[in-house]
Amino acid sequence: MTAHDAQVFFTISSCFGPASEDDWKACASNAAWSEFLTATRRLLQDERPLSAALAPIAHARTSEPFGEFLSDDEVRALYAPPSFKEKQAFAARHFTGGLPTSAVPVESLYVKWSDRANAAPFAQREGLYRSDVALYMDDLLAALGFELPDVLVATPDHLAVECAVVAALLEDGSNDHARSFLIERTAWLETYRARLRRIGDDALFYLALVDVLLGVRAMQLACTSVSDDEHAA
Amino acid sequence: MSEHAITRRGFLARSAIGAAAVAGAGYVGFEAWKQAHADEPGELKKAGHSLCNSCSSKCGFTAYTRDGRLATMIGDADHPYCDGTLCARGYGYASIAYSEDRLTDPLKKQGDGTFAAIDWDTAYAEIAEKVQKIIDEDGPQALVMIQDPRPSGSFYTARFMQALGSANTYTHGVACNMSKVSGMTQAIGAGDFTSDVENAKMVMFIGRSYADGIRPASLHAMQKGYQKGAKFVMVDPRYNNSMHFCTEWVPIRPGTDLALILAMAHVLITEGTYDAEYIAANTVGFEDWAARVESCTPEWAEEITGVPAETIERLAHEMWEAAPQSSIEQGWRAATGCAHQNSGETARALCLFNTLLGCWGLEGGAYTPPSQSAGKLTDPKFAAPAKPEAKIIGAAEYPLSASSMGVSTYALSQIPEGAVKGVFFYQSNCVAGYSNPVQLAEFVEAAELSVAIDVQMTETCQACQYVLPDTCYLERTEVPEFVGGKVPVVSLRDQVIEKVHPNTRPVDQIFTELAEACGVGQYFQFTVEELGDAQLQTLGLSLEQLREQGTITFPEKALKYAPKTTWGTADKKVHFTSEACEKAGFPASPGWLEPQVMPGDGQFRLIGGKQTIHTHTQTANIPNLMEITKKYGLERIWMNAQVAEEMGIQDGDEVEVSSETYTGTTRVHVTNRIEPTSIYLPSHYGCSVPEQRTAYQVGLRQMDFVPFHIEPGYGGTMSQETLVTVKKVGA
Repeated sequence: MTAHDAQVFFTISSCFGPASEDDWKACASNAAWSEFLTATRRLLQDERPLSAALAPIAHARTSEPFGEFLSDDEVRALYAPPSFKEKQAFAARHFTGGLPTSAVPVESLYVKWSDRANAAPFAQREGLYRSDVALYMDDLLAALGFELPDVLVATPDHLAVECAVVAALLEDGSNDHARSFLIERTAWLETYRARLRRIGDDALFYLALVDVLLGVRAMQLACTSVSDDEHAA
Repeated sequence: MSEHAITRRGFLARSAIGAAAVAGAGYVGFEAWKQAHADEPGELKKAGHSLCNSCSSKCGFTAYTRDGRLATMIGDADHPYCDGTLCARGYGYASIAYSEDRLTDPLKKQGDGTFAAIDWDTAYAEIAEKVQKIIDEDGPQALVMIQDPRPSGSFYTARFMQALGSANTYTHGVACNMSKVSGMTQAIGAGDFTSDVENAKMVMFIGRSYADGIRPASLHAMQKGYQKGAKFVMVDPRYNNSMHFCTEWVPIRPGTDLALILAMAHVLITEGTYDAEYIAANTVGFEDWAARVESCTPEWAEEITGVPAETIERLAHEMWEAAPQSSIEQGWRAATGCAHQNSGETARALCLFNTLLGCWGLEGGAYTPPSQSAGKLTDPKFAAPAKPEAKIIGAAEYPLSASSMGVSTYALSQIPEGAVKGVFFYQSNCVAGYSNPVQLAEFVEAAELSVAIDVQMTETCQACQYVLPDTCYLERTEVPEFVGGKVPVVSLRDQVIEKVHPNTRPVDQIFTELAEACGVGQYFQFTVEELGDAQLQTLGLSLEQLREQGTITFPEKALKYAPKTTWGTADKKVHFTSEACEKAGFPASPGWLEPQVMPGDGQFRLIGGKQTIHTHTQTANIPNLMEITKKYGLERIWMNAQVAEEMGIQDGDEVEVSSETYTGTTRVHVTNRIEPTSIYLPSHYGCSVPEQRTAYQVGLRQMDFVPFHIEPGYGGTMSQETLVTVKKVGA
């Protein structure tokens, strides 16, 4: 299960983050994408903690269609990943800052900047880069021994990084940490989802991915019996 | 794992430490991390000195960071503009570094009018190709640069244009202090002077409010002067926030300040109460002006200004009684700067009135601040490109305009004429603020090449084909800034935080790379640090020293009070008459010149002006500052209480404001703090760029109501030469 679960998060990371043309083609190839969809559906459906094995009896359960978790439009979008060119074009319009249609997937922009003592006068604001979450991610990545490419180094709380960390923790066998991290670091996606929705149909693919993450988060919360409030960032 | 799965970690690489780490070791959850940092907050570190960018004053401050983020800023005591204090907009504006609305990548306008990110190399290559085509077909004078002066911006933009062979580098002057600088230059050969407010017995302010268009040091001086018993008179259609330190408000009809000055001059000259000795020794053309103001009686001026004749007479007497420790303060953007058809002539008359007082150079009077500049750089790598032979476009049409600023609006108007083909903007929201936005946008959109460099999307960026993302002022080191004052200084804007967005670039880098792409890179073979250090070395200083101190004073150049007997004019004298003005169609000495428009029945003159917490359109998108706007309803227009009562309008009513160019609705602030013929609309609001999420569609924009026109001779934008009607919505 670990490998399949990790793959889901690596793939979502590649969708939101930088990827070379070759990497993206490999990621979005029919076979790889099909496996991603299968693994994703299991993750949404299976009542188990991340990477945990499913009870034998649960294997008998019928696979639920994506339609149980996503809208029809989202399902259609999820089954048709963008070409590299389309992915680049979307990023050029929506993953760049300062435009009306910007939907930069950086957690800092959707949470309070800081609640630390002696912070700047605008500390209580939302909509600012480099919030406490970014500082936390800097520290966490350093502690886990990860390095980011230049393009992401200033936004360690980018969704692509957060997904990659979940995947890496799973690969390392740190399943509890992965689960805890996922629950903590995806609460902001409810707000981000609203931003993506404003873009319209062009964003359906990414909206579907966000809904996948929110669905997985809900399942993990249910599995760990920890309330959302306790994990709210 | 499946054979198809991504078997690597994508962009997430293991560091050397990480490769040896035990799985999951080092993991800390967010709540635990927060708790740990609450117990042990990061150390407050001095990050260096910088210069504020919330307005053009560029006050010096020391930045402190915690965990690499800006934590606080303390004004530098030696900086002559801030005097150890930053203003509210300075503190508020700092959040721009982290703003969601920051531009993060180079942008190119697409076929549908929207923008999409492109890479820097593509942007440079496409821009350079268009530059070359324009130069090949029309020559370098078909290229124009408009910039709001900042230390590096001023240097690099002018050098870039000069390297291309164009003389057309403009500032924001037309919408700021162009007419003041130009008018004063005709009279005293200098574009600026300073009233010694701190030591004066009396100062008259005409349309300038130190407490609204803040330089903290100016406000400190006003406070000290007030506490020492000085009489400060505020001549302004509005009872502005500087009234806290004023002893008298003279509510004048806007655009008529020239008549007030002429009448006060009339009083002094006819009564023989002026410094005849100073005038005889240091001026030319006095008799001409004396004859011209002979008919400008206080009674005549009362009809024009609305200020009672006895008040005018009394103020003239009081100014003389306080002389030479008295002066009329120079103003800036309003009456003398760019507001009216007579702004340039008002500035000229203002200098001449001060000359009657004999106040120049004396303690408590008015002085031209001493300054220091870098010496000539001898290293060949700094050699400047040849100066273009052509004159800046607009110099011939507006012969009195200061060439150091240039008439940018006229230059843009030459785009449809085919004389200008390409335009660059650096940190200039020209379209929203220099004249009528619809007209200016049309000009820019008609250009073959249009490039804007800024930190956030503006109306100007929106009109351009390419938008290049600048670093914010906290993220870059700039060329040293030399500032005049009682004690002149050099100060530094140094980088105090790391770049928030890796794909943004500082102005020095952008123009160096753009120059390379355009084939003139040989003039940019140095870093900004090398340039700054070389400039400072000519004064026996170093960049390292300036980095350490932030501001270095030149006490040997400090102001020494003494009658000023040498002026910047050709013959070193004050000129009551000007041949250049005569050639431009003005009288030799300044006489009465009516504003372009005067309100008739049911009409008002629309006036603008800064509020304490904002700078033009630049700060409106800062949430902390806009929150103050909304809390106090600062976006409302002001209307005189008696007029409002007669029109059945009450405080807070929604009203429709109309001019010949625009109609919009907003709420009204009914107040006795404005004279009856004026409507005040703060000049910060009405942002039409949805990218500025905080500022978008809050209030009305003053310039929408102003037609595209230019002050004859001087080139100012005549921002208050517009009439509006007001009616209650639903009435």
